[in-house]
Amino acid sequence: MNSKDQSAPFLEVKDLEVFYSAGKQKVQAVNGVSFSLQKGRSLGLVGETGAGKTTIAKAILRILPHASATVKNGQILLNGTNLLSLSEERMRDIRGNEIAMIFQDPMTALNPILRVGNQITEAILHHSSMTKAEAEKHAMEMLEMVGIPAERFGEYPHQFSGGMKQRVVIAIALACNPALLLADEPTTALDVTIQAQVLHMIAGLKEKLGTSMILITHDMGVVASSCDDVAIVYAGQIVEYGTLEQIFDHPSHPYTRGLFNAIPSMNIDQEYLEPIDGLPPDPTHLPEGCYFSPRCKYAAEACKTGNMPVITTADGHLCRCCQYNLVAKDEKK
Amino acid sequence: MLKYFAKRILWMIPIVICVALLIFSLMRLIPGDPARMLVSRDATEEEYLNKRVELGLDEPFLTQLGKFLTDTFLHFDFGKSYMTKTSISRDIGPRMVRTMELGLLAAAFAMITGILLGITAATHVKKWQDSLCMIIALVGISMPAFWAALLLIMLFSVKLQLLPPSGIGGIQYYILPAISVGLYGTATFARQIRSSMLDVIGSDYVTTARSKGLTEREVIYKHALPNALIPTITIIGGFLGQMFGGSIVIETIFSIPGMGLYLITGINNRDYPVVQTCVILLSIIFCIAMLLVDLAYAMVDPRIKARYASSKVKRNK
Amino acid sequence: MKKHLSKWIALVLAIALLLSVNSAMAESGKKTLTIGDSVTFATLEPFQSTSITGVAYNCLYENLASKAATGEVIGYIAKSWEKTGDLTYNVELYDYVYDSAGNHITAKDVEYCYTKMLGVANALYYASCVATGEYTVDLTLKDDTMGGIENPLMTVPIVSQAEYEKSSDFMASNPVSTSHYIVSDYTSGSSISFIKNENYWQKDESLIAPVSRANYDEVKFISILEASQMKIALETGVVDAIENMSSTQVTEFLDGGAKADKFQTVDISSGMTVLINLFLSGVESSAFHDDVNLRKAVAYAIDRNGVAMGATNGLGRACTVFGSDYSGDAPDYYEAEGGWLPYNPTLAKEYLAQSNYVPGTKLRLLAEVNTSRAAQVIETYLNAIGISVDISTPDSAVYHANYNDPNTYDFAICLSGFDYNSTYWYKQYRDVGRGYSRHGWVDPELHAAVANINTVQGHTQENINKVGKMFDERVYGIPLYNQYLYYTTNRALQYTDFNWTVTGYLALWACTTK
Repeated sequence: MNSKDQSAPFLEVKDLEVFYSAGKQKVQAVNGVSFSLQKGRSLGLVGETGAGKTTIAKAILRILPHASATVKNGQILLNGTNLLSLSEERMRDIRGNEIAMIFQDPMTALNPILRVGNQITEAILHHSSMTKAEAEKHAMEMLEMVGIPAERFGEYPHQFSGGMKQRVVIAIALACNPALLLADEPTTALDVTIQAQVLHMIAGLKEKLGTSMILITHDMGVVASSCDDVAIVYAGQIVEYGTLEQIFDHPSHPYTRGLFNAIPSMNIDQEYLEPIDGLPPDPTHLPEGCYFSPRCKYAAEACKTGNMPVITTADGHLCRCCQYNLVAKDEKK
Repeated sequence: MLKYFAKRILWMIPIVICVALLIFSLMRLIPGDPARMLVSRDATEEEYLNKRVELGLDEPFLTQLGKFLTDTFLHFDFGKSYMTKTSISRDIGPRMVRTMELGLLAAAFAMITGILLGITAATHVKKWQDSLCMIIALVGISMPAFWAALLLIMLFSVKLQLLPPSGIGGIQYYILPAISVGLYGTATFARQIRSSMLDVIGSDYVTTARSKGLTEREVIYKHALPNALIPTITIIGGFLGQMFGGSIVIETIFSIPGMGLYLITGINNRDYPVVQTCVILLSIIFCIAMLLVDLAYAMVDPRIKARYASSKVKRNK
Repeated sequence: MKKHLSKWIALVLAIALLLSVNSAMAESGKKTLTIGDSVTFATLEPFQSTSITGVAYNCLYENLASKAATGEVIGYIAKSWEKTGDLTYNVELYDYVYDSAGNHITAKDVEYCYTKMLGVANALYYASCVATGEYTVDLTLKDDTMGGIENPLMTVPIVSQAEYEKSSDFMASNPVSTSHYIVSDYTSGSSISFIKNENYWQKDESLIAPVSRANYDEVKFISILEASQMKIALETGVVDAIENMSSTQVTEFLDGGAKADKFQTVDISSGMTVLINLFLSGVESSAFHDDVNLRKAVAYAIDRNGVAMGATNGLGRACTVFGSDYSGDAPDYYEAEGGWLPYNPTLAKEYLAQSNYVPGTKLRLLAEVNTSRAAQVIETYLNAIGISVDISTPDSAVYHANYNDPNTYDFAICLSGFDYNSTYWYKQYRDVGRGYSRHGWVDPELHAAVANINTVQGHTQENINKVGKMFDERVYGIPLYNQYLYYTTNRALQYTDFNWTVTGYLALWACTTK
């Protein structure tokens, strides 16, 4: 797990399709997602709310709600092993141990009636053969690592502020030194200064422990400061994928461009914001052809039928658009 | 915490005294006369009036009240039953023990079965197990206790000859009564636990627990259930309080001489000392039960414990 | 789940163990009798004003005398008695009476018990009891009523004064008496167990009182409060016999019933007289005051047989005389006149027409909860001739309060127990001391007549008939019916006789078995 092998990606997701059943309707949350992640790198999954990002993460960890969610198709290969085909027992060994997840709302992510220290040791004891004393020592080290004094081991969650709670959550996630960390909007619920602290800390830990990360966010700023690779998600599909530089310097998909255009510029005097017209599609009734076409100003007849091809515009830079040429022309302007 | 505890205990004193005053006055206001119940049907007017004097009922109300309050609260002398002339404190002891035994057994039965039903329903929500458990709960709530009792007797005592139909003795005498009384509790707990669990299972910390790789059993029993049980504590408190009042119907059917029967016989005979003593004791027991419930809350939920401790801090400031 | 499962298994095993231990403790050669009763055994104290122990009283204490099956009063602590004055009797005791603690019972003890009882119970017929020798007492009656010396001899329990005063709770839980049985176990509210006193004081078998014959080594009384539970207890063998099973449950045990092959019943109601009566109120506010036609209308409108059958599920007997058929002192002219007060709705309607009753007025009928069925049947009969009735069945205490105030009802249903009809007439229709009877009737002639007839001299058939005629004219009240009282026993006990009744109870432990 320590070698950075360029040819065999650490995590590979192939053609993942997930839908939820709500009564008689099918909510198509993930519609053919494929990407890969190299060891030690962090991938940002960017998109609006409801784009399917969290579903992808939960699908990897296989903690989607059994009753309503169905993985229709796809493979999730972790070092070559398809996670979707593993037994539940084997998957439990992986959860918290090789893959860990941090959730969005720190206020409710911790069990209010258990001491925070015990919530950390719980994960450690489950996945290792340490004694209770050893686990507690390790847990205290984790707390120190995330910047919480070890004396607070025996305190309850309600005694911590939001930012500190999130740190505890991170401590729990990293306690068993997972190879892959899934972070679902970890700083969205925190205020900006704390946000910076937490991101900085995650980056440091990642560096120290060599963890790979998938960071889900809707904030381009967070992406810019924390990610190596970026995947733009729209309506359950990855519409653009590339390195941080590629996406930020040469956004190819109309949606990506729309996102960047919507960010107010600090340089020029802007009177109006430039939103993307329209709303994301209804996931129970997705449009024919390109899902973005109803809102796209470059939309043509070809966009309205069939599957959109995935074009490689540069080395490793993928774009799911058949009008990308038009988009590229616009950029040069 | 200790201050909170002490404050609650101190509050019990004026509450119990108020209850004593109320029951004393109420008994004397309602129609019906204990002296009339004690003389024979064909007694003469003189015999009846003599009996009233003998019982001290001819004295003015305030004199009687004063005597009652000093006897009860200063000397802890609960007096003698008008009917049997035996010491009430001696009679009530074994009866209270029986009722409490029955109550605790019923509560234990209700809690165990209710929790099992509730968890099964919540973890298989909308499937056949859920419907089955909720139907059982519906039957438990709707079926009157005495009907359940009679059915149980028919099955276990008459047909199968496994358990005795009535009376007191070893624990086998309490099984059928406990089940009859507990059925209602089973249903209440099952419904409450199911809804609490559904609430809790959707919580983020349960997802966190799952993502740590814990087994489903650990997730349910270590993370979900303790949180789901918190609102149930109130119900348990209320249930126990009800139990200690004694289920009169069940005690009659199973011929268990407990508090319920003692109290209702006292009421029917207008046996003032008996009713007064029973009601005062019940109010004390209820206060203690409520206090224990609140303490249980604090023990289980550290947020509430903090609130108790901080409320005292606020007052001190 | 595993945790809970193991707890359940442990519980089931524990139960099985307890049950097996219980059944293993079967009687080893001892003859035991278990009787189920509906009383609560709240206290065992001898000097009580109400009967709390029911039939078990006869195992707890002995009186000076008791009634045999023939009706004759036989002495057992008392050897003999003779009248020595107008109201005084000299009673001689056996000089070898001992209680189970070894105390010798003397005249002083008897005096003590009788005096104690006076201070506690009501409606006693004696005024005093004084010791005159070591084994003789002078028992003085209150007045010259019928029954005379019998009642006082049979209603006072005899215990040793020393033993009683030694007891910390007035023998409420640990009685010591002269009885043939000793209390071995007692749970207040639930059960009393007795074992045979091998040192019973009366060694001469021929002199043992009927109720003191001890044919069983152990006798146990269990309190069963609910009617259907009594039946179940009998059927499952928890008890060997039931005292006074309710009329709704007993039918299948009677001859010809579904369970008659395994169980048998014996009715002891003829040995006692308890009647259910309808008493009319005579105060001014009552509808019956000054309106003999209305009273007669009500009397003829009610079919006593119908009331008896309806109220007791067919297990009752309507009165055919103004009183009880079994007391031996009923008026004897009824037959010549076609029976006493026959059911005649046509005649009733005629009387109603002549009365002051305003159709639609509701007459207030007061009844107890356990006589409410009788009240409903009566209402039906009265409705049939056009009288409206409003039944009120309050709880026991309110019933008694109202019953003693005739202003609160027009007529009321009430029980009455007595030895002689003259006692019954006297109790219900005498002057209570203020010029009227307990139901509010002002009738000096009747008051005097019933007082006279209750004395020994006045108790002649001629006077009885005279009083009967007075009641026929006035119709102040109607004795309705009496109810059978069944003891139900398991045929496995193989009784050969049921002759040992004593004041309303059947002493099963005294009955002979094969």
